[in-house]
Amino acid sequence: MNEDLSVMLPLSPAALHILLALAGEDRHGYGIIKEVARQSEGHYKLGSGTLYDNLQKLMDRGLVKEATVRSSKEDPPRRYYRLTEFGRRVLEADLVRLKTVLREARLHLRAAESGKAS
Amino acid sequence: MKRTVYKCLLWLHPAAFRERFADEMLWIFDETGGQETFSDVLLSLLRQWTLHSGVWRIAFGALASCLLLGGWWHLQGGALASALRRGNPGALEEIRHRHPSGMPCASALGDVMQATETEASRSQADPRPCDVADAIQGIVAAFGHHPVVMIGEVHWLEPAGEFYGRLIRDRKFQQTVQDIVVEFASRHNQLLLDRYIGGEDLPIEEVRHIWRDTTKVASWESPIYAQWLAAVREVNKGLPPNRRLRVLAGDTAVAWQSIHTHADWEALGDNNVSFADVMVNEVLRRGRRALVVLGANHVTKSGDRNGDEDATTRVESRYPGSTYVVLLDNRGLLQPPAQELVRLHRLPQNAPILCELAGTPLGDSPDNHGTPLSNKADALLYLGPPETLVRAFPPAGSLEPTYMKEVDRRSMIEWGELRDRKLLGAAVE
Repeated sequence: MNEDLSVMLPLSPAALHILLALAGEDRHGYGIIKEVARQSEGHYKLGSGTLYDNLQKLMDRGLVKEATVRSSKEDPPRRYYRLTEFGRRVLEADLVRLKTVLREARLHLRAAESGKAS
Repeated sequence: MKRTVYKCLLWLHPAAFRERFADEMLWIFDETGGQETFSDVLLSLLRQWTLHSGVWRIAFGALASCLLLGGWWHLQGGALASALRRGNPGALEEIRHRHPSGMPCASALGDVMQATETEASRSQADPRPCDVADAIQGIVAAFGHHPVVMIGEVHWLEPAGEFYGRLIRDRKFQQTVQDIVVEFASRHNQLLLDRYIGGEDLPIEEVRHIWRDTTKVASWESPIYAQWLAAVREVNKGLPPNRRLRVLAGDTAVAWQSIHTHADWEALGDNNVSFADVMVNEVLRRGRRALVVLGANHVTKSGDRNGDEDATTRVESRYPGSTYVVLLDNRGLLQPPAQELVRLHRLPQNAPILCELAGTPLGDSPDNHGTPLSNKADALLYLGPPETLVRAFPPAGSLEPTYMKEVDRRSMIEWGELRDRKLLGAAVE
């Protein structure tokens, strides 16, 4: 079945980072913040206000859901969040979109560079 | 205070959002040591009300936020003024940053700032030996920039034991720090330590294995260590499970029943490797914060007294900038000129205090080996005048003969003589 994901796109930077952070494993809120900081090498700092605001939106739209509350000795009970199958498809669609943007940007920049050189 | 303001901002969110996420947001606020930005939570507040409510609620939320922010700003001003009065140059920089065009209009802060500028120009001729803060506040503040704060102690000091107890009872410390790494427990006893610290009822005969079975023979019989563990256990009883302090055994694992010769003992290796390993794997890799208490020779920033790697240099090579080193001021640490600087500056009734060393005359002063103090540590912990720095010995006759027989065996292996009997004094009589 072909589904139209275009209505969900483009994802905001915060939503994109959150989905990326959840792509590998379920994480709690603080885990997401740390993973986003790691993935962006500290360039994108996600505050908890932005995080939960976006998480709420993503959950309402079915891209993310709550996973079972987990706990261990080192890790107290926390609410974990999980990327849904739908969320994964939206993320992949946005990555395809970004790839296109990147390819176009490279083409244009290269053309501009060669124009300058001649 | 910052936490209260943050809590109020969370409370202003719509009920559905608040009930779902406020606890987690507060937890993150605590985890990050209060570094969460207010602008972010204010934006979230605005978005939430815009999305889910009518205009009056937006207006109310905005007004309340402004009032709270104004109150917070005012309090910050008060805090800065007080920091200025204490002579903290960082506060002056902060005010200059906030008011690039000139003096702040808040008169109290302006007055203090003027007084501080005057004081600063006066101090060109008479510089302060170091930047002083209350020791507990100073240590908690150091966690704002460093996930690991290390205290290099002189073992067995009674005032040190009292200070450790006060530190862990401090609410801000409890909200900031998750782990305490200690030298007086070996890693093979971590499970036992967890059970004891977690509040499980255990016979003392079992508990004392924690400080008795370490690589260093009979080195932790001073009651300050057992008392500190008991204090952590008590504090944990009053904390929610996810905020409890964990004590991490830092010393190399050792099975004394298999150690028969000095070569066996030597094979245990350098315990700095073990301390560093615990800090890296149990604390830094997990994004946690730890107070670390080791002997001073394990923590100096310039390596140990032989110039070899110590625990700090080993951690710094893997996590640069992660550690903040505090050396306990003691009779043996400073050369006479530095002792004089400290003596002139401090007031015993203010102890314990923390002296930040970077860029200060005290930091430039050499220690007994001629190394500038600021090369060895970030701060000096002053617990009181030298005459109060007494050791706490185990009570007379408190060490049972069977244990002392084993101590003698271990002493012969480690030292080739019964050195530990001398250290333990009346406790073995």
